[in-house]
Amino acid sequence: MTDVFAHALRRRAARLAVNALIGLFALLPILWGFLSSLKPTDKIVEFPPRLLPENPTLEHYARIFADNAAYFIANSIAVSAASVLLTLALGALAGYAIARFRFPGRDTLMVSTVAVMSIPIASLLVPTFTLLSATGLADTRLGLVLLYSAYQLPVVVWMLYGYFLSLPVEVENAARVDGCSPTRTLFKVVLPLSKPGLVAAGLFVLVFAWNDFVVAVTMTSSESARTFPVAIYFYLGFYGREWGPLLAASIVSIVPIVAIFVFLQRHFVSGLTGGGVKG
Amino acid sequence: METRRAEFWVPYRLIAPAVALEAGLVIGPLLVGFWYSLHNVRFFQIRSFVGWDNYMRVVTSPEVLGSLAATAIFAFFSLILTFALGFALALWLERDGRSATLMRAIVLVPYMIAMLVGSMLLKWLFSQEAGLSQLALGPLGMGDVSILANPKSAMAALVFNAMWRDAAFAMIMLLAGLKSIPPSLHLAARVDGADAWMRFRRITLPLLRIPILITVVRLLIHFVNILTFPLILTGGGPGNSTEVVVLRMFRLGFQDHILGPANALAILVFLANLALVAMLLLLFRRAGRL
Amino acid sequence: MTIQVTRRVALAGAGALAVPAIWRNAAAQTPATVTMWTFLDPAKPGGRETALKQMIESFEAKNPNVKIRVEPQVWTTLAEKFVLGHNTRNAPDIGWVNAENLGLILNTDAAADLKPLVVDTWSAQRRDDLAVPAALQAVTVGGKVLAMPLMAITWTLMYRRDLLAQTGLTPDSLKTWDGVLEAAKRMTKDTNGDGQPDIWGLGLGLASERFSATPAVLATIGGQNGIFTDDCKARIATPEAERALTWQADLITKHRVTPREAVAMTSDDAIDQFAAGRYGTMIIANSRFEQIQRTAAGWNKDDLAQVGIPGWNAQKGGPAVITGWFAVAWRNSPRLRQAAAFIDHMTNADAMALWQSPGGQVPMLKSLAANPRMAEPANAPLRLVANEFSTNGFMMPGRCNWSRTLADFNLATQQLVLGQRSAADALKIAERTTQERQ
Repeated sequence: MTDVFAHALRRRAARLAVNALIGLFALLPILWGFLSSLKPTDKIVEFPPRLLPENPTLEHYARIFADNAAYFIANSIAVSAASVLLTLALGALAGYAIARFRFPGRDTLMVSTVAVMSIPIASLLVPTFTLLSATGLADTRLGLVLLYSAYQLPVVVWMLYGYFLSLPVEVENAARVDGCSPTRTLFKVVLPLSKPGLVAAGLFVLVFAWNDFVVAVTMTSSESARTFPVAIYFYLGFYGREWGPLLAASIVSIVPIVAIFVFLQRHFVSGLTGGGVKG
Repeated sequence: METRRAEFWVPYRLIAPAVALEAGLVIGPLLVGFWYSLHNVRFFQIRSFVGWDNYMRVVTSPEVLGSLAATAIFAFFSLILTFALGFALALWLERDGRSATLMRAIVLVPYMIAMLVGSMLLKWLFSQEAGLSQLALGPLGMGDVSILANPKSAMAALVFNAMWRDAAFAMIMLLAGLKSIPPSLHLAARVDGADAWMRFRRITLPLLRIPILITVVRLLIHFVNILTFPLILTGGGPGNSTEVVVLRMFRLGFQDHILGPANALAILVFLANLALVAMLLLLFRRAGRL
Repeated sequence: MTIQVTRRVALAGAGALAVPAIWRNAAAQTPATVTMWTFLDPAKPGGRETALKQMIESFEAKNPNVKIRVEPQVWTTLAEKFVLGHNTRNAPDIGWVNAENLGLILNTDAAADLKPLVVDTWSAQRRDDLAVPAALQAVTVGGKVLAMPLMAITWTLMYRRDLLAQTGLTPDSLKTWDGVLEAAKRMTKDTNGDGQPDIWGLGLGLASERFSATPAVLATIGGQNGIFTDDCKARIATPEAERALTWQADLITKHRVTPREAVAMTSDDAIDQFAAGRYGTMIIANSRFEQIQRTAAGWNKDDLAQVGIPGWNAQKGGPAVITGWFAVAWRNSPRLRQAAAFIDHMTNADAMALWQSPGGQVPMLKSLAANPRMAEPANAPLRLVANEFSTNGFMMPGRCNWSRTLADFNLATQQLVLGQRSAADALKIAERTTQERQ
């Protein structure tokens, strides 16, 4: 009896140890960044380094909000949310077409989806800037939304296509017999059943749009269209790197996205299921 | 007959918006990039048509060839290690429960922090001079090792960066696949006396074929096109040892301001990507038949 | 019904997202709003920001129907975006460009000729008052003045007074590279006895990304009077460069006064280390002086001092390579006259006084440099730089593309330190890659 108990205890301890190791691996750099963000400016690069701040301060957090961080965060939220919605809408339409219809060009379309995914985005920046400028979309949040959607759409089509395949086709047939158009069937029947899949695909778009810096810094110039990652980059300034606000802003930028993930976690994993297995 | 014809156009109407967006914002710029690649473009302005000269220049450039080797090494090791770690994490955190949920969230944090910041923090940790790597290496008697100053260990640091950030991505993709395997299968196998390894080989792996394929393809594309990690963590050095091909392309375009060769390289990288993905698909198809 | 509502919401959303575009176009129709791209944000605190803000206020007071709108930019992409904007006929009326990127302006047709609009309107007295006339000459191409110098910055040898005093040497010994090496050797020490120096004599950032000028570049420029011919042919695979490069690599491999990790450090990384008290000397842009004082950890910030760039012998000082910021007017600007007027305003005597104080910039006019205020001890760093400009000022030919040549030197140093190539071979590569960009 005690043997079994001791065995269970050992197992538990081992599990805990492995989990601690994983946590350390994942969080150590970020923890270091967080602790440094609480140090006064003249202690951040101190040598030898001290893990814990001696006189913790929130001055860098105060500084970023004085630098209008709230507005840039709002911009990022608007751009990310719009990108997610647009990508999901277009991705659902296209994914549904591929999952449920056999039509000439379907194979080409599926191959092109993978092909478009393989284009290095960095190579598109200069021509894209020219294009956006010519259409008046440069330096707008709408321009960013369209670009983020375009870059993430192939992945989303791929994922949603897989998810739709995993859904039973009978319900749709019933709706079609009742006289629903394919689009209506998609919106009324299929999408409500696909919430987990949409959440999963949407979160990938969100992570990309929320963190993108390269595209945003090239395509926007005015403060009104500036997103948070670009604002963070401003702390790598001409007169030096300002670790304090840089780290504070980075820590702040993780909070919303981790919160969303924790909130949607259950959907996230099960949403990938359909797409994952049947894709 | 009428409805048939109407039906014929339905899928095209459904895909039209997506195709339009891709054509406008991805294919269009790609074609413009191709146009640049046929010209002498100095300081962002087209000077003259040069045909395939830029391509010749790119494929004969020692720097580009070196960057291809760096890309191959980086992508190969990153793919294998990231996938392995992601798979291990997925198996480890598969069961439900509060601790697994918490751990999954923790593992995902590196994936969600901006790549730029993540790599900057790692550089700080790896730096011998900043004094942090010594905390870990000092007790091992390796206090005077500078990870980033040596070509081999710098590449290892770059691969570590990839693992650190992207293992969570692999984990999530594979976790989803694992969850969809009916528990009854494992139970039945256990009754038949199959041990854990057997169950993994005979049940888990075959049923995960598609999620594995998707994860590997997406990781591969991501690693071959990597820019941020080497740009921030190693700057391509020391001695160009970690200057991967997209970093080379970025430098040609945005720092050297010679867009012709930069775009020629971009087109070649794109074609190489396609070839790699096609190869993987074939490989998996064949493995599936065996 | 629901679909309609969604559609309306979607349209409203798209409208809101597109607001900057509409706003921008509306602004473009009021003829008198001049848009300027710079890395400074006049809405923020700080000396330079305040100086710019006051300039804008005085200009707008003088020209009531012209408004100046500043759009702060990430400094590293300013020049590129200006030219890209020009290509699509969408550039700001004024853009700031750093000296390293002047090639972008002088080799394209993006910039307006400021000679008739600005320089020709000057009195002879104002023209003679320029403290750094080389900067203006460098941006004059075929009689056209394509940019106006706003802020001059150069690299200096920064050092720690306290550490130098411990070596028994005087600042005068830092006038030659050999003297610097000697001081560096004496400064390098292991204070905690772990077998690794904690204080290094000379700091270097030798990475190929976020790089800055290093001793090798400056010694080469000083030794052979530049690294380009007048028609932008690179002169890097030379005995002078070899001497300089070998000297630099020896700091790490032979004399061990610089950490090996320098090959992986950016200029920012190395400056952080300097501020953390790890280095005795380092070559740094004088614009970073303030930041280092602000972040100095574990040492007295008043011990930060600087001297001009050393030379190979004490008679001839090293080059004070002129970098810094220039203002460019967009050639196709519909408000070119107003834009030029504001550029003129940013460079007149009053503005130059503001750039100097509260801006903390090196005085760009002789009359300012002669001002008694400059003799105050607080202005010693600026006085030193102003002096260096007048005695050792050196301007890279503006048309040559040298923005990454500094990185080429860094790569060559890395290769030499790692033992991958000889100095001569490494420099041949550096020369070829620099040449390929011209």
